[in-house]
Amino acid sequence: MLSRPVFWQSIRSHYVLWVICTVVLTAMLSLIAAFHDPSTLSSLVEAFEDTPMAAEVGDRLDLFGSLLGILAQTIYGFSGLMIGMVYVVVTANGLVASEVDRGSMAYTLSTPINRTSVVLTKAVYLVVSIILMCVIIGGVGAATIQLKHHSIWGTSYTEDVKAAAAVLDLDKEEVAGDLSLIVENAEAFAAGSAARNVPADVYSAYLAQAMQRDAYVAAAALLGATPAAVEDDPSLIQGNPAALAAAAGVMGMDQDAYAAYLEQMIARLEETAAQRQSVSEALATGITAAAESLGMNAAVLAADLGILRADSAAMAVAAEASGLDAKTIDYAIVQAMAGNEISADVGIVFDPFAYLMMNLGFLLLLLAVSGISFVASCIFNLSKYSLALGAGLPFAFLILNLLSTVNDTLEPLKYFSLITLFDTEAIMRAGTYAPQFAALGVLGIALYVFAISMFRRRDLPL
Amino acid sequence: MSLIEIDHLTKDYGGGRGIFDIHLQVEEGESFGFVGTNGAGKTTTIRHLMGFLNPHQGVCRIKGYDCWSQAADVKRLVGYVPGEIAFPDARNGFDFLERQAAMTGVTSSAYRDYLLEKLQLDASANLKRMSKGMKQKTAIAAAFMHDPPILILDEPSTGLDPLMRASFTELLEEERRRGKTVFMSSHMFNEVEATCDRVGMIKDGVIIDVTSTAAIRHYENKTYKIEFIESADYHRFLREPFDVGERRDENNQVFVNVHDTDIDLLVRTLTGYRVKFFTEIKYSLEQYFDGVYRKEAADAQ
Repeated sequence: MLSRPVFWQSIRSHYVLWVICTVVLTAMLSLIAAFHDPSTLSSLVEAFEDTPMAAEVGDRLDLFGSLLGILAQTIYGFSGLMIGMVYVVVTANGLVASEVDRGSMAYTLSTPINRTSVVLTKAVYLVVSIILMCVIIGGVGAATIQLKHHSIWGTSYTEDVKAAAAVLDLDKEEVAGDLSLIVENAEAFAAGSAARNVPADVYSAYLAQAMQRDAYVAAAALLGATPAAVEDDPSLIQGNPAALAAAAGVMGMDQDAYAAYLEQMIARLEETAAQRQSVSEALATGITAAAESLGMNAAVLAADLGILRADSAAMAVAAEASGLDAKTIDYAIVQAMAGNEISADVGIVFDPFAYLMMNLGFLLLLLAVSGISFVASCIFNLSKYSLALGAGLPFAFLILNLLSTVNDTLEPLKYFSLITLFDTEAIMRAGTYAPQFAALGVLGIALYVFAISMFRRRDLPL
Repeated sequence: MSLIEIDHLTKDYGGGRGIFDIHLQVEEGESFGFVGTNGAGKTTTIRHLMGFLNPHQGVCRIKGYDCWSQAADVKRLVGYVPGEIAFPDARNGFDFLERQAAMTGVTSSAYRDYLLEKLQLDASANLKRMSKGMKQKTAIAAAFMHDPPILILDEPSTGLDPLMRASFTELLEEERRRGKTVFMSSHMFNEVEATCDRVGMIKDGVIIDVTSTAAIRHYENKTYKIEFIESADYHRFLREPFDVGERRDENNQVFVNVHDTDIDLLVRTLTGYRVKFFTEIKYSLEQYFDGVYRKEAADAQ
């Protein structure tokens, strides 16, 4: 059914572009992975300009500060997809339409190899080359991530946990699972604080926030909800004894104490939220004023508030502008710095399964797109028409997808783009993406079947 | 049953373009020439034989196989030179020929080497830099090298210089002697006249006439061109009982149509005249079709 000579010919004619695209994408992914530093907040700085208190925005922003989040915006986002699509579109056109247009297909079809096996072999070449491309990109990427961050096989720990575990002579896993061990041991606390390179008061605030975060994560796992949902509504934990026990364990409290703590927190939730909001707005004003006095970019200063704290004159300016007293603004800054540390931790979180799904989605999307291009290639006699449809449609999808992220008015455009079916955010949040994947797969298969049957039946000007 | 059968073949592209009710048979071992102006429908007919086009009506068969639905079986028997030479990606001529050999399943390169020698083709040249003639020779070698019993050639001598054309004709003659069946198109009458047993003429998608080249070669009505030294002789000759076609008073020239049986009479008559020259205008396929063509046009009016 398949023809070996046609397959070899397809490789010989198209391997150059395949090699270029594979190398570029692999290099992009590996470089991003290799140079990703979980402790820098550079990726958050930009976002900070729009939202004064990046640390308070929470989950959504955190997600994009992680390695997978950055990969979702690059390799699995616009630029990576574009490179993948260039290969798919050009190759699909070259395999059939361009050979029919030039007339060289006559030499293939004047041999006893029948049309069906010619077009089937070419389809198989396209599919196999795309799969191989994705396997290489994903595989080399995974190897880089493993070498650099050890986060695919084995868990990655923060620096302070490593240092504290050494002092406590405990397993890193145990310490990471119960941060109260650090709080309770002065020596471990000092080591952790030094390892994180933050003052003691910031580290203390960080540990409190981190414990709360871990408690929500632990409870969320048992509740079958996302950590963000639990954070929004902590009362969820109250209804589930197992979740309550898990969260209490993480907080280093006994169950009753934690239940009481939770009760108190929920009661004050609305009040504190409003208060936090007004404090954070005031702080943003203060930071902006202080940055001006220091001749710095406000976003840069917000990312490294240690500079502000070390400068008493700037602190005075910030207090003045914000209308907060010195003590309150110092407290707010400590909390914000701790929040920055929390954000930095996200960078170290890496979910190998999500990474695998990300690659699978990328592959399925490219296959579906290649189906479109292959149909175009199989139904037109002229290369220019084949490219108009086979390249025009995929790149229109890419542009629609980009436009839909610009603002809310343009958002509905995403419903006209195939790329919407590859939802990177849903993958990272462990949301719903399987039906979309299935749709991409079915669409791809249907398009290939249609392309092959069209090519079998049509007139060829050879 | 004929080896190649084209039965009521119609492909209507609309607006009078296409081919209409083509009916042709080519016997095994026969060589058939297909002439007509550009756009007359030669290539369209050939594309049906190769199974590239699906007929609107009618059917083409080669050795009983349907050219459309059993195209792969047909191609086991056929060597094809396309009308347009556009090669697939290949480093050079050998590379391309090897690719074709792999696809047709040819393992021996002996016949290919013989063809390359015969065509004086250096196949190691880069395909893209080849001249038109070299490309044509490469295409011919690709079509002939697996030694198929049927050769379908779409204007095979395009781009060949006159010397090469002669050696191509020789090669084709050799293939015919080995029992090959040839179906070739051309817009050059002298080429098909030299290489084909029968010739069909197509005009506006319709076969106007099919004739045997042997009949043309042995055509019994001949035309002679005679020039007289003196105009007095010229005028006297015009009164003789011969069928004078064209006359050129200023040159004292006449064109006389004579049946083979009356040649003796013409020669004896001319002994009484002072003749400057006397030559036979050879009757050609071109003249024959020219006649058919005029007749068609006249009938149409």
